[in-house]
Amino acid sequence: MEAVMTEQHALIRLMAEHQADVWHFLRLLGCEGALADDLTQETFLYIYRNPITEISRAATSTYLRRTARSLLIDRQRRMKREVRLDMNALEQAWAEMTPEGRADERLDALRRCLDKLADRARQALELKYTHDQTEADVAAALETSLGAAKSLLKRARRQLRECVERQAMP
Amino acid sequence: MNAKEALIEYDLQVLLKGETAPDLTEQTMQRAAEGETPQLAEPRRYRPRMAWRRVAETAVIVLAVGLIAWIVAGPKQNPPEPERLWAAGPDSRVIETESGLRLESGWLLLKPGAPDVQSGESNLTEIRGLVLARARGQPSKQELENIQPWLQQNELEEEMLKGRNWAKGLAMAVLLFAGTAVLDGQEVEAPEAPAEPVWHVVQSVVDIENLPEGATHVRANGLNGAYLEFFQEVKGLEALDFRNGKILNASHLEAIAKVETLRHLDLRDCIWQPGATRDLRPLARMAALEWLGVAISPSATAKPDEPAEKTEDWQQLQLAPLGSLRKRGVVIPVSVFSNNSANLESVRDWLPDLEEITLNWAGDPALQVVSTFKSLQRLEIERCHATELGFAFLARGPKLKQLIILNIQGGLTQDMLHHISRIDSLEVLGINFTFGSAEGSAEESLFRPLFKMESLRELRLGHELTGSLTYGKVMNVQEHPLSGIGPLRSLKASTNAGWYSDPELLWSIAAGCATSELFASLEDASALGMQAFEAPEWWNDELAAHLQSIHLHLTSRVFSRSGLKTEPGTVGNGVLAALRKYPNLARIKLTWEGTAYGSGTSDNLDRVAEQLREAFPDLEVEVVK
Repeated sequence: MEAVMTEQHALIRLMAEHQADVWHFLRLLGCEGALADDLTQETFLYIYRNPITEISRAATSTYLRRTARSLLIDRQRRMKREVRLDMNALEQAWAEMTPEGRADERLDALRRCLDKLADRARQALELKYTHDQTEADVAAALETSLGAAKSLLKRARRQLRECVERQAMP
Repeated sequence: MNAKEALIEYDLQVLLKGETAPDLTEQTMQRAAEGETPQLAEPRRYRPRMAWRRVAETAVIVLAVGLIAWIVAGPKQNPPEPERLWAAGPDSRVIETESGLRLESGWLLLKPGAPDVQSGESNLTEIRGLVLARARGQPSKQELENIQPWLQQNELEEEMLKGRNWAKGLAMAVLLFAGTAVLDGQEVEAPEAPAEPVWHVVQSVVDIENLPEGATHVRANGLNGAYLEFFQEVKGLEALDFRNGKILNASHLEAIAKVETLRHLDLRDCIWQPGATRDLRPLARMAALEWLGVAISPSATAKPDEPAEKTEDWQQLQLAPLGSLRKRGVVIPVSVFSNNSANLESVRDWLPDLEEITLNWAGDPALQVVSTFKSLQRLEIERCHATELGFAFLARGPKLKQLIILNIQGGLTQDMLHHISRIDSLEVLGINFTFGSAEGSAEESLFRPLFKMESLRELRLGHELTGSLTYGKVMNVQEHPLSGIGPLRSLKASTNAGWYSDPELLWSIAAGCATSELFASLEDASALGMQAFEAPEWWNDELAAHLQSIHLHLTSRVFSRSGLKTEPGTVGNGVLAALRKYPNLARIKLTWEGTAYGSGTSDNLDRVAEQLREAFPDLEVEVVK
């Protein structure tokens, strides 16, 4: 796939394919919604001004993420904001757990893994993430101790990670 | 939480809240049309392949430059990625400025060469060591405890904080683990760490005679008491570990008491010569003694449930000399062989501020007496006949830090654990247990009382097997019953596990659960944030196979035992094969135990380390001599 990114229609195609991934990646790095919106646009503007040749979807995805990350670092430095130290690790985790760089596939894998979880663990996750409940609230809802609820959530996240990782393997 | 778990957490929020990315195409096209061009301060590290002409141009330039560099400087490897020289702590605010770092709140960990740090009116410069800095001054003990997980992530253990003083600046305090730094114009230096003593192991008179000059610490476990006479000739002997000695009598103690330099003497678990008078008075004359481990018993037999051969005035022969040593400040961990609680009262009266005691036998009355030892910190019970009543007394007693129960005769019940969980100072808990209630009725909740023990750092479990009983079958658990214990950092296998050769029994005892559950329980150990699994001496490839998916640091003396003793200086193919099954192994610590016999020299340990490094280039191999 060799298409030089000089035309607007190429940018539109690139955005259609990758902008959700870039936006989610920026959110993962801690950007608020508005900042993620802005930096996603800047990422594609940068590519528009500095065209690349796509050699594979995964390589383009990696390049876009790293461009987005660099733009975020620049922005934070200019604003004298604290720069997160774990950006590299998050980028690496994203690359390892996301086949072809497609976040939607990773999310599909996560959905399938969630279905495999025990009812109690899934219930705990839904309470925490869907209903924004604290770990203490989760413990109360499940009639268990705070420590057990924390542990249950931790174990559930770990099981999900392992399950998603297995599915991400080639 | 590691990066992958952070990603899963983010995805859960996206998935369960239905958060979707907006379509930003229109805005982007608008900005493009307006001629906006984002600039990046840093060049990219990575770019996909460029158009062929640019590739060719770039390649020519790179080749030319590379050829010149190679001719001038010779072939070189790519430079390593620059090491990260600082890390911000949890809930900390750090800003990179042109002149370095500005610590506005919280913590910074700095390595040699880190940029200068400004915090309020304070300045930390010339950082040539490993430094922990905190904004606004010295932290409280609680604040230090709160950052333990972060420190551990940065490979700093709690132990490393002990014995170090904070240097206070105008608006920042620093703690130096190594090297130097300048705080507000004053140089601060890390204190020298005390060197770990080398213990020399002896097993014969020849070994004692061949001890190297300057050997100060000697281990002589399980020898006949008569060997004590030969230590008089070891010049400068400071510490003697004579645990499990045999056929001990008062004349042997007279002999060892003549070693004037001895500061540390361990005679715990020694067996007295049948009929010998157990007279500890010679030990009271040892002027340099600072630490004495000793077993005491009112009867002239080693075991309390055997008929006494004769009775002695044990208070005058044993308790009085220990009492006088204690008054001098000698630390005395004692083992008490008695099933009579009145005898324990005598021990308490003579040694009221005892900090460590081992009871060979303990029922409810004994634990009631123990609860009146006000200074007791460590209690070990070898045979426990107590019921929940005894533990209720214990919970009302001293602020124990360590409680080890090697054998609960009546079985472990939740009520007992409930009382134990009320000892809020407890840091280490070890229990060898069977299930208390009838088989099949024990519930998942057995260990639940332990979940609230915030001080607990280490749990040692050993399951006393009852036939083919398995954890899963009996408890019918869905979750691992230990998974609720949050702050736990270390799970240890029962030391008794090595007595069993049947692997199935061994696994069960090792982790306090059945064969099928071992893997799960160690997974839990990992999930609970433990930093190490202490491999027992019977560590082998079978255990390694169970551990292979867990990221752990393995700290073990396994090589110094199996490698040095049987095949000096050789790791052994079995151990190498075992390690290969353990791909996430990050570090091995080899501990040198000096020996004066055979070929066991410290060079052998270096050879073992060499072989390990060769076989596993990515492995960090630490040798401690």
